[in-house]
Amino acid sequence: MELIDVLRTLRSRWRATALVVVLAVGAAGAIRATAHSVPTGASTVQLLVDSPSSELANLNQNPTPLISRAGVFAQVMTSQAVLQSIATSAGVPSRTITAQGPYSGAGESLDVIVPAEGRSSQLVAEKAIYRLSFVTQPNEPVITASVQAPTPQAAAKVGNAIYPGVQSYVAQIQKQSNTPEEDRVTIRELGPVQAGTVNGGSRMTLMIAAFLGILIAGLLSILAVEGIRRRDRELEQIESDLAVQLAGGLEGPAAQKLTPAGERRR
Amino acid sequence: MRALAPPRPFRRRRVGPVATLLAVAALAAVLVGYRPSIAPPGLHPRGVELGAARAQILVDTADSVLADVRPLAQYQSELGSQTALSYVLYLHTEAATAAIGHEIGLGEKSIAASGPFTLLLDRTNYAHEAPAVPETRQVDGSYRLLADVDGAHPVLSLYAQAPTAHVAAAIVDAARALLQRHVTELQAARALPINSAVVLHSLGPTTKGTVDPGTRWQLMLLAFAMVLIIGSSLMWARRMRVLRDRRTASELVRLDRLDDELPGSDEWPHTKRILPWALAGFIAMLFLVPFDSINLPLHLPVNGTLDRPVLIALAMLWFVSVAVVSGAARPRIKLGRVHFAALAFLAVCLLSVVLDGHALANMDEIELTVKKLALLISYIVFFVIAASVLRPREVPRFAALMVALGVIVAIGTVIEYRYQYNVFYSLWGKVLPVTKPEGFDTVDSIGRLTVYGPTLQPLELAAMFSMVLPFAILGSMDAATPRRRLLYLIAVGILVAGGVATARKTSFVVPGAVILLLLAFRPRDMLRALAKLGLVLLVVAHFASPGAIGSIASQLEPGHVNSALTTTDRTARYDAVTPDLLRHPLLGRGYESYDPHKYRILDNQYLELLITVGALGTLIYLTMFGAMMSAALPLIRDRSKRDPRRSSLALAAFATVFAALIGSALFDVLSFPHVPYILFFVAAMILALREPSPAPEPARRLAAPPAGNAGPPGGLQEPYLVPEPLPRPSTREPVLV
Repeated sequence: MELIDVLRTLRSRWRATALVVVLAVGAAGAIRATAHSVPTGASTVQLLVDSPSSELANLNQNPTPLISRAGVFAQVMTSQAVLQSIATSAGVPSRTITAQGPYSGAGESLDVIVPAEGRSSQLVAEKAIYRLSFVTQPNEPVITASVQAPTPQAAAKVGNAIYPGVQSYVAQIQKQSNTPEEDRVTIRELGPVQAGTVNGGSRMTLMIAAFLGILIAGLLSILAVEGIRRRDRELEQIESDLAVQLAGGLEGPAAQKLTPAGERRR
Repeated sequence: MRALAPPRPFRRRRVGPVATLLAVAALAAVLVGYRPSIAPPGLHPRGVELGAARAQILVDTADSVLADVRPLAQYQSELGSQTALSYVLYLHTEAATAAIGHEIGLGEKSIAASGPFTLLLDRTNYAHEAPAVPETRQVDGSYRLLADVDGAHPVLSLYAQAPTAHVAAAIVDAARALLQRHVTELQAARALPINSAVVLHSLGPTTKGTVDPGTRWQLMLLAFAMVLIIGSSLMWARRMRVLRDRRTASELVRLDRLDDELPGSDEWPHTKRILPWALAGFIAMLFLVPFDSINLPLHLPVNGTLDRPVLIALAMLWFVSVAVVSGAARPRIKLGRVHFAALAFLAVCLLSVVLDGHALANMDEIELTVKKLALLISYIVFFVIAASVLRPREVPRFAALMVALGVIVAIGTVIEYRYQYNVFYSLWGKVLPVTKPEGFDTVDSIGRLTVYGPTLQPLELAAMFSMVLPFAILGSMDAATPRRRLLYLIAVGILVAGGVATARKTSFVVPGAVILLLLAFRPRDMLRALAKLGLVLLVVAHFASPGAIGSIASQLEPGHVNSALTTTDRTARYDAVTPDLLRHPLLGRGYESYDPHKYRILDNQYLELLITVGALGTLIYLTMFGAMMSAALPLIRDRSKRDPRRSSLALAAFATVFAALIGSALFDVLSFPHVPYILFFVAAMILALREPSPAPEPARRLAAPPAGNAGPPGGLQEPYLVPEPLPRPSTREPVLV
């Protein structure tokens, strides 16, 4: 089919073509209207795992035990217990928060070998609107927590709740185990939460994809239906020509082989 | 004599079959979603849905490591993690799995338990073949528990998968309770100091959820649509066979013989048309330049790899030609089945991204899909350009060009294998910003040298050779002169040697499949060629790439082919990706959004497509291959043997498409652009072979129509041509007589 034939066909089926265009524009508009749910905010905060007397300030102290402890904390922070505490501090439902990690470096991912059971849990958490991830530093007792949320403000709100949430959970454990004041693990927040906008182009990308996807699929459907109709017409023409030839050219026994419906008997 | 009734209208005739087809499709849909029973009569939902649950336990002491700053030292943390590992192994035992099975109501059946996966044990190339111990338990594989530790921290994670979320949570809760009882019993047997006794801290409640809500309806809809499409296609094909035969016959009659002289023809390389030269340049870049590793500092909305600016320049040149040039030199845009299939695939890919857009944005994966969509659009744009530019008489010349370029790449690959010197990366690195891939000049986990050539992956390189090989083989069989035959034979030998130098099973598997295909179409010629040259080729390949044949052969030995890591890793993925497959079975999670670096390396394009564009997208992907192959078939099967050259070239192109089809099962071909670009170029060659040669005609320039020329009524306006005295008639692409 030459390009000119394609354009002619679309022009002759202008109502269907217009409907496809309207649908494509409508889909893009719908994406724009519902795009408030596309996450665009992110925040990050760093926590220091320390002792009451701040072992980091003491040159005679070996920081290795604190670094090991930070690794345990990062793992515990992905648990539902801590997430509930963070959710309470942030004032959001706990089912809307999920956590990934802990990762121990930018290039390392634990997810690449997850079997089906673990992957199922990841998939269940895929649509949670607040996504937290925790990264530990190899040589420092520092945990970097990142938050992704629908807006920068929401991300900042949850980011601000991480420190009090974790602190509250640790205090609860310390209370249960009657830990002496001077031996208590101390969590410190290293500076204020940094928040900003990410995924800025997601909305536009989805709008363009919706428009193009529906437009291409719709136009192809019009052309396919038209192609089927054209071939059907060609075939009917051939069949009618054949029937005329048979009726005109055959007589007697040959004509008797045709059924009343005009079909040849098997 | 009885009077003949007029033929019954087809619309009336097809009501019955269509109704039957709809009924069968509906029945198939119901059977996919529900299991029927006779006594008592009824329909029971099939277990297609998955529930998942997760919980974590901290292996601690009375003075909690979370609370008290004193107790934790490095060795204590390691002790905790080792204790956690021993608990994981306890949960694997028969007693534990049976107890959990009993707890969740499975009766005598046990649950399946596995893990830890994070703590990777030492991996060897070949699995040990220990005698299999007979399984005494009755294990229900639908109820699965996975316990995981990382070997460094004293935290134990429990994951469960079951037919419902409720049961999955019950498995996790039962495992946690069982572990708690186990520890208590151990401590009761022997009293421990309070700070030595293990305390299991439950880190929050069990989280649970359904992995794939709505899967049943999607699968039922898929079954309904599949039966409907297959049934109606068969009915349509049966009805259209008369028309198809006529059309094919009339199309074949129009075709001229490629070997006949065409005086004054304007075909590449004896042409001043720029576009074929630009295409040849692009093909040369595909073969000789590691373009995917060259990121130019350009501000493009997508990746700035070298192919993009080159393709943009090619597209601009093409647009100028379409807009300005007329006559036979103008690119002829003719949309065929391959165009439609490719565009339909693009539409499904776009829609898959839109429908799961929120989740993709949530996981920060939109950018990845945009890059992959841009790459897919690049392939399609290249195909449209190539299909509109190529002429039938240029096809054998471009095929020869591809063979020559393939030979150069193969020689470079052999040099890299023998001397660890990559010609392509080294030379281009001197003039362009080339980034070497990870693992360059290193040995992989099973001792194979990673040989890249101009590509990003040895598998891609092996597939490239396999795609060029059919043109070389058929060239050697159909060569007109002994000299040309010898040259093609040498080319076959070098291409095989290049493939073998990659030391990948793919370099045996794909050419093997291609040779079997050629044997099926031309058994006598192929057997004769194989009998004469098979041994010689193996010797050439052995001397060019010593040791490589043995390495591949050992991977393909009966005892190793199923146990080599490269095979077991692939098969292990089938179970691991089941939740992803069931989550969005119809349209997937978004085209190519399954990041191999984030989730899992699949090495299988079909599996990746099933996850990312669902069954519908995968079917259309296969349809694309079907369209390419079906376009070549009439030329291959031309019984009248009008033009053996066209037939031979069509068969070579058919085999190349087949090689890509097989290659798709061995790695994710759409992510490695060399293979798809070559595939779409070969598809364009097939379409060109179906056209008659245009008669010699000088290029003409389009001009604006004079005022008042509105074109034919009811139709679109034809391009207005500058009236010039021309020696040839005005038809744009006349048929040769």
